[in-house]
Amino acid sequence: MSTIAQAQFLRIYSPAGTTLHRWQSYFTSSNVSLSGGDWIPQPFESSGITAGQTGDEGGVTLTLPAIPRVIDAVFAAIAGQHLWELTVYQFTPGNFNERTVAASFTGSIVNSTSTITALTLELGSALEPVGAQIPPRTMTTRLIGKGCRL
Amino acid sequence: MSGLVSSDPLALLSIEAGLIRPPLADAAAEGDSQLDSPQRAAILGEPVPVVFCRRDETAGSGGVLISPPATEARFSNDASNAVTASYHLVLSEGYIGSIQVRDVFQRSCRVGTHTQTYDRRAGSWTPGNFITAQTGYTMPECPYYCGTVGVYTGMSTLSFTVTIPNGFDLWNRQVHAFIRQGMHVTRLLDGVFGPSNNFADLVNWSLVNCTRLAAGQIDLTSLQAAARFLAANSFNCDIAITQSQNLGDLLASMAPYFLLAETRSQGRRGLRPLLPVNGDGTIRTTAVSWVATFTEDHILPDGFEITFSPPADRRPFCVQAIWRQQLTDDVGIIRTSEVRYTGEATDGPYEQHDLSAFCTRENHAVKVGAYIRARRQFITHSARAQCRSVDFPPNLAPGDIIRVTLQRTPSDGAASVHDYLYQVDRISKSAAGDVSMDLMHFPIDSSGRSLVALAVANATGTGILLTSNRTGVSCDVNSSADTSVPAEVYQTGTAADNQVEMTAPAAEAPPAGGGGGTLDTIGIGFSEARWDGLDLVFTLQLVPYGEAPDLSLGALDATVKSGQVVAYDASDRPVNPQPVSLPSVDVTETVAEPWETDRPAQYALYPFPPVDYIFEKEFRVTFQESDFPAEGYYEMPLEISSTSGGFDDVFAINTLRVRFEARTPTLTPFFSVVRGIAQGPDAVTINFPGESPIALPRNPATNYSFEINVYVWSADTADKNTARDTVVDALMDEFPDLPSSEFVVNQVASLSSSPPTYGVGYVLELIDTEISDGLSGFIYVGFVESPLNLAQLGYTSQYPPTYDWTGTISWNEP
Repeated sequence: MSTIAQAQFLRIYSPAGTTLHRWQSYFTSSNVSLSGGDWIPQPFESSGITAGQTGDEGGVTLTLPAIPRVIDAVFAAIAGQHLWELTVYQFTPGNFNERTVAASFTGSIVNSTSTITALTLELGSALEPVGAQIPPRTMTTRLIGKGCRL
Repeated sequence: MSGLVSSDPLALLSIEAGLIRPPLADAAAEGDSQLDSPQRAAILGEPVPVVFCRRDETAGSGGVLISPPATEARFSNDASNAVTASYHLVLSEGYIGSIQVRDVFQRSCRVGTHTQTYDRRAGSWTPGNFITAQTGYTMPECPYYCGTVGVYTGMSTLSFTVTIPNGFDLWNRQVHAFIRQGMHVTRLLDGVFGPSNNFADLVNWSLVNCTRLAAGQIDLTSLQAAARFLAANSFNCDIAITQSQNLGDLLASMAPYFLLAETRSQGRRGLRPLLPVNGDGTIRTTAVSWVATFTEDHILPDGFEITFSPPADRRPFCVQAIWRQQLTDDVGIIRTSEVRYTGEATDGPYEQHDLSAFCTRENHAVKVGAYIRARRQFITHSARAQCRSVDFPPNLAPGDIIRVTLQRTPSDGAASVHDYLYQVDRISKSAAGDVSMDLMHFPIDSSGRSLVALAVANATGTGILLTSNRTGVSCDVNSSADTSVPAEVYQTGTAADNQVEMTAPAAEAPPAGGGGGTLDTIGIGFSEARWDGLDLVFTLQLVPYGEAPDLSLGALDATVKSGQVVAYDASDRPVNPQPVSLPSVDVTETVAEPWETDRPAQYALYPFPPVDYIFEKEFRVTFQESDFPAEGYYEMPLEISSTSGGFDDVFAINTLRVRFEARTPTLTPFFSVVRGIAQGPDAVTINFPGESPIALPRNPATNYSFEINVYVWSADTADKNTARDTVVDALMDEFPDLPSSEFVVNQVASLSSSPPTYGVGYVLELIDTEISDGLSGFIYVGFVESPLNLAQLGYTSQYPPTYDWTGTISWNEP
């Protein structure tokens, strides 16, 4: 019998690539040094990760406690279009050094809800009905003047 | 054809994969152009077109004829009443290549002169109606609303001028331009900023410019692979996008016509070929290899499900692919390629696919037709497989080929094997560790080659190139061989309208007079589990987050239930079939009493629980020997399914996995807490801040390192070092989770005030503890994550800045 544990790591970074937060929810009593940074314990839960053809799949739902640190991070992420990188490591309990990446996901907040105690975030890269039109621009009086009538 | 009505996502996979097509609404070819029509005026609000193309003169394909709208016009006449008409036309978003004289038409005639520019207004004429009455002639009736000069930021524009003799009302006809080198983009394959007709380049540009996706959300590697596939197979995209549409809809409708599928890998959007390919992007017509084999050892019991394609959708039919033969010196010809298997569907049914808006190569259209027909011929079913995470190859990705081999052993003894190759379309990994794969049947021949890939690779067009069907006396004034480009003439316009820019307001603030902005949360989770004989014993801990909860905390009932129990044999394989009866847990008990009831004696003075006070309740569930397997084991997930009671705002986060071992030799405790409660820090340092002491709550789930503020007040501050052991003992009594072997007080200073009232976030008190002669009272400790700045957390001091202590208290793991 092999026992497998999964640890979830969450990195929040700016579109320019600057890391803002490193959180992990498995090792609750210590930081984890990984990928050049310290990942601090922060309770959160995520839904599963789906990869494949696009459709309704592809998003990840995160649930976090509504504590000041999380609220501040979420508000800043919404305002700054921050990206959330979720990585799920799989390993034998007690042997984190021999881990594999079970899944990973990068997305921005496309939807968020909250109770007074918990935040629920939908991460993804939705091609929304508004704001994802092609062609991206329309003719305006600023661009083409009053326009002619023929 | 038939539509499919189903709420089963697996059935939808067949539609997504093209096995089942939605009903079509046949219509005229999109790529056709009406040549002789009135010049169209641009209407405010309509999209700025995107002209995306790249002519291949050697192959004689590519390019697109556009009919741009006019934004400005000018009309004048001379003494002979000849009308000179000028139109200012918006060509495309972005910069496009230079337009040759031979490529500008009015109606179907090469007439007039033109000049082209980018990012400004082309031409130098002033818009307006300057027609005057000429003696002996009827005054031409030209439009009066001729527009004003615009700025045309970031778009390519064209000025067209033509003079029409008296008596011919042809000055008002539509201007057309054949674009050979369309909007410039940075190409994926060579990194050059130039024109492109690679669909992957269009997708990449769209994701950046239409959706503003960050670079980290675009799968550039897959887009480059898709671009290589398109280039190797000459699947080109020469299109003018003039109608506004959702990018997702555009990609979903066009990608299959380039034999591509949209993908989302690790959250990043990309594309992948629908066929197996070689490293250089060509279609692979040799034997394919699979990256993994799945058997009963990998797939969970009842974890494999098949959906067959409806027979009605697999009947013989003929694909009619409409494309556009693009002549180099004349307007394009809309053509139809019919693709069918020999001897079938000679008189229908037909399935029409219109590629004429972007496809200018016969082979492209034929291969798409062959793909549509071959998939419906050979692919018989889709499937879904579920397996455990431990059995799942970590590197398996959508698009990979796998083999599934499952034994059927019916009661009549006629065993058979389900043995097929599949292409992985989708991989879903749940938080609990289970993996689900959506699979598409991947048919191969006896040599292991993809039947669909062979059909597509072998399908080639007739090679027939039609000549222009233009007849009669030419109306061209300019030569069809004139490849010159007129000089650029432009002027700078002034915006007729401007943007309204709002000034950002000051940062939002909470209403005045409120009680502060921090929130209280109660976290509940498993902290421990063990076997005690046949009893499963587990503990739930209830831990406040944020500031200390208020007095309204009542009793909390938590319900713990088991999830799906799976039995495994001695070889760690899921038992098939699973036992009919498996143990289960369903228990509701009170985890925490109301604070008033639950309050320990030492907290008698406190009206509400400190944030670091942990409510704890042990559960005991008794099983029978018959619940344990004779051999092998069961795995059962325990989850907190609901909570109720006075503790509102409870946040449950844990799952506990319980293992039922065979009774021999002994029961083995087993649990794996996905997230557990901290066991306390290895080292704790207590700082006496000296001024502005701040009491802060600790989040027990994040206690890796703490800065602890201790507040002690008394009339006498003498020699606290001598009280070291007493303090340590008191700490250990109240906080058994804090391993401690040492307690040191340094740099003791004097207290100078009387104790304040209680504050928020107190954690530890020492009541009636003699610290030193004459010094007794309370010690309050706040746990704070280091090195976070306190101000960032939004906390403020609850104590007056009256203390002048400085010092350190620390203890460490032995």
